Amino acid sequence: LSGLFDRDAFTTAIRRLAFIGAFLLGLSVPLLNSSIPAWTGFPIRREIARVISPDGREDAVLTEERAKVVVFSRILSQVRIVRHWMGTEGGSLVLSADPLASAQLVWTEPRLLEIRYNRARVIYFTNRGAAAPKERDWPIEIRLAPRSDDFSYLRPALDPKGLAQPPKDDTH
Amino acid sequence: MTARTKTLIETKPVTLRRDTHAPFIAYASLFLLGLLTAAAMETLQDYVTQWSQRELVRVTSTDGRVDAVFAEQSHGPLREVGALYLVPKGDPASPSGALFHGTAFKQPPKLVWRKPQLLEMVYGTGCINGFANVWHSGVVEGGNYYVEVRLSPTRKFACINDQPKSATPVGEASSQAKEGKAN
Repeated sequence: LSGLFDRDAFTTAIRRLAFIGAFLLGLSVPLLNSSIPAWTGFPIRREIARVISPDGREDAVLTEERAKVVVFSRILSQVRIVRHWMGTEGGSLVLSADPLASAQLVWTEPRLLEIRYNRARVIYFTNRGAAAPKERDWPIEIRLAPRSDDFSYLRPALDPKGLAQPPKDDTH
Repeated sequence: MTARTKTLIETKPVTLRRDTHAPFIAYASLFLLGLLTAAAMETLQDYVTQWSQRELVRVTSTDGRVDAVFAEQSHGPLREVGALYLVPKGDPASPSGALFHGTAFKQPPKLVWRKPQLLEMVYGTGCINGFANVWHSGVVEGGNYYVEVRLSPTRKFACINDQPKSATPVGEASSQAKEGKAN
């Protein structure tokens, strides 16, 4: 048996694999860095509002995701376009914001969705969505519509120098 | 020591076992090498993007502290990507700091400073992806300078065609001719 199994060769191979693994781990850290909060957060998604499009094909869905990342938790408001009455998992994400205050989803036309709000810090937005990620034949246009012509997130003159700053209490 | 023990010691073959454990420092060094390689690749990608991009619009804020820059990056002969940047006044636009990337801009957008920290981007056509509406500088005003950005499309449908069953966004399949592009 000892002739068939060369222990030294096996150990050397394992060590080489470990070296390669350490290198690849270092290489992938920047990629993992952006995904780790999503993995560790175990977000709980709650549907807040669902608005059917005028032609009845799609729904615009406003959800809240509460994700606990290590010690602090954050509530992320998201808007997705999904097929009528389907769950939010398959739809395309068009807006992610924290906070998003007094949001209202309005279909002004069958393929035009307006997201109205009083206050928002937009983290991600795209002006093109579809009920399914691969559904390119029926795209939806989305537009952001803050209700005020002034700042929708920053607060003027919170700083001694008169600079507009983010609000101190970021509650909804 | 008895004679029997002495005999055993002398006759037992001596096997030298190699140390099979690599030192921790070797693994740590390779991990760091991987990190450095990833950073170098990202820097190289930024450098190539910066080299290929050209500024179309640059507008200084009303308080003179920052510039809003709209630049176009060439991703192959048929694909051009626009990007919006906010930079300290006079600084170049670094590709990694874009507020969004977009396609199908037939004309460069108008960048309008409504007030010192409020920028409005007015555009006719364009598909926008990955937009964030708040920018923060770690340099300007000791890191206390924020800018809020809002999007103002002038057309009802700025990205998609206003025809049912349209497969392509506005201008995506059109020629590279861009009307009125600023030089």
